[in-house]
Amino acid sequence: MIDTAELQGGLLRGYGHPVATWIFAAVDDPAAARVFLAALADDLTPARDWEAKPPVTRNVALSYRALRALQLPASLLNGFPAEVRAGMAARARLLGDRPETFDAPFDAVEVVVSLQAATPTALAEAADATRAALEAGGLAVTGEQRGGLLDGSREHFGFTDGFSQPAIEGFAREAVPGQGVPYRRLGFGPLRWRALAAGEFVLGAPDEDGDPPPAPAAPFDRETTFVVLRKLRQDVAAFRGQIAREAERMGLAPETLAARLVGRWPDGSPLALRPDAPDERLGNDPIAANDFAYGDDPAGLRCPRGAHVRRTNPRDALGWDGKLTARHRILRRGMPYGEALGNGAPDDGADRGLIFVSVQASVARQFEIVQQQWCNDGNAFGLGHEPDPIAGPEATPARAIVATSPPRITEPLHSYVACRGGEYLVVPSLRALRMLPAL
Amino acid sequence: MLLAALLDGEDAAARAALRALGEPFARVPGTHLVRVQVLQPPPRRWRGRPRPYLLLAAEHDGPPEPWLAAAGRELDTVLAHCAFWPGAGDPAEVARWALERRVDVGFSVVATDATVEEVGVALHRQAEVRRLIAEERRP
Amino acid sequence: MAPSPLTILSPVPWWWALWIRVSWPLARLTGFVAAPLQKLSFIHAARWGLVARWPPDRAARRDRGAPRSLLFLTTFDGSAVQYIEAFVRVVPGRIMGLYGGAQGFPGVRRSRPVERYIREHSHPVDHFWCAYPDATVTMKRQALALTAHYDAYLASDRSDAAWRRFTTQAQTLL
Repeated sequence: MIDTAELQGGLLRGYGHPVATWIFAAVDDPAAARVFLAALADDLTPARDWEAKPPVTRNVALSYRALRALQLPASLLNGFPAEVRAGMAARARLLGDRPETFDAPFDAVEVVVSLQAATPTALAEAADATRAALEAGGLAVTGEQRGGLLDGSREHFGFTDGFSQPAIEGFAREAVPGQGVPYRRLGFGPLRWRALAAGEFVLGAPDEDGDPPPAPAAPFDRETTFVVLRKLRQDVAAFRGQIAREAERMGLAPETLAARLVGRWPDGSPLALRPDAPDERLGNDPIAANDFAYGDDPAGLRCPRGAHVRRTNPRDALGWDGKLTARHRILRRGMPYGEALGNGAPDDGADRGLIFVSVQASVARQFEIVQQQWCNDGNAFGLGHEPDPIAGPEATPARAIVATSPPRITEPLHSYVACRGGEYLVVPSLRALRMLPAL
Repeated sequence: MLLAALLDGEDAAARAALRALGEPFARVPGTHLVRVQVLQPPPRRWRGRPRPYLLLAAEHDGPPEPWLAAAGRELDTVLAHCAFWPGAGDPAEVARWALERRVDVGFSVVATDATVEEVGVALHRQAEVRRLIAEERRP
Repeated sequence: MAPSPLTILSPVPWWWALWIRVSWPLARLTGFVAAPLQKLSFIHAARWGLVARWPPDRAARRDRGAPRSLLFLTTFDGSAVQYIEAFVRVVPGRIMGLYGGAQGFPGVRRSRPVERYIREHSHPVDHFWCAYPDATVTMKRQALALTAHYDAYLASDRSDAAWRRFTTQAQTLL
């Protein structure tokens, strides 16, 4: 049973605020920083239900580098998973990243305080106060990254985002078809959906294997989770240009080609249900727009086998009614950053993209499998080693099958989503933070 | 799949010889997959430490004798650490030696029964067809 | 990612070895075990052998220090964790039929104890080689199936219609 008063908020359920900021800090004075973080626990937003949504939310995450800088005992540090101890940059080969291109402050992440707010003014005030408090608390602010929703909840390439979050037992979206784990009663009959075990996302609760997942020692063994934070720069002008050129070569509408690469139309309607044209009403219906599977479309005649949404959440596309995908789900809590580039506008060189945030109990089993095996490679989908042209490695162009009967294959397409830094972070429980001075 | 007892005290040398190998099986025609390793069985209770063994297992085309003859030549420096290894000079002796050390396979699953050459040709043609489709041409 | 080898040696008591000797011929004949494992399209090869005598060479003195063991050799695509997950979630009954009586085998209700068992019983492979390190099982099977269709096209009139028919038939094999 998860104690939502001790679990930090914004993980199992998103806050839904339109603006956010991530303030980065390094540990300057370990003893003072421990005391500061312990006191900060009282100001953090927990996961428990609220009567009125807080106008400003505040949460904190720590990298393993920060935990070492706080001088936690080795016996405690050694209990963290290998990939979290190594850090995201050390996993670059697996992830297809180029750490030499990482931007500050995403190139050396220790403490990250994330704020979300209902208005930019409230956010700015909270950010000012937080920076001052960090500096007075034995930490040195190293940078900040603001983010904000774009019009229509779209991301910079123009697609509605935030769909298809896992349904979690005891939490949000339990009853939403298409969001959880597919199954059939007694092995046959219609495909049904059940919520995922909460332990897939929070340490201390049973996971899909039936027991609580492996965890560090107390107090990091419960109401704790791991977050993957990545700054994903999107070259919007280059993406649009590539789509336009390739669409012209193939005699397709640019929107159609883009939809076949993504797996949804820009309005969110899924190709699995609407292969030929978008359906705005469906796209605006979060329940109906996720109620689909791929098992009856193994050849990818409706939604191409290599489409982005099919790769990142294969549902039952890997066979056996989804049994091989249930343990590789991630929650996504990111937000776009940077100003939108107007339609048809030339490249302005501005930095824009997505602050990607995923939540999972095991970074290696969940996020890394999705990125390495499903985005950076196509074998699971019968596509050889072709990566995802949307979210695959920057350095590896990908050919995509975007039409069937007869098939049509694109020229090699570059991914215009580039990771410019990030880290694997621990999101401690409020209890663990309060205990820091004594550890 | 064969298990050969290693000569006393030569397991470390056998392992070192294995790790120093380049790609000898590139020169053994018909080899799909091969592994060679020093295998140390766990001890049984109240018995002494068992001796280490060399495990050689491969998926290859055709009958075992010609494959073993070629593999034996490439692995001579490693197999020299095994008890009763006759040397790679006589294929019939190599085959006899290997057969005596064979572990019966209960059952197996193999991805394809095509030959190495057939797989190579097929992969090449698949790449060619993919390219033709992408370029909207025909052969 | 090149395929990975795994070698697992599992000591078994005499009565489990007896079960193996009795059940395996039947399993081979019916394809009861092999068929679903074939469908797990990441296994290049998997072989099970019973080492009842160490060494197998009967001219040598029997090594009574080594236990009767089930020897499992496999080569696969992807990660070992996913391999084990597939065994536990997709073919648990078959795995129990192979390992149910092996010493220390924890059963197949949960993946993690099986992962631990495999870690404790696996032996490092000192030398491994494969002919096509970039080709996965799926790629090989697709390529071979495509070849059959391609040969049929090349033997046809090679018209536009024939090309469209071929590429449509082969579209999931590309």
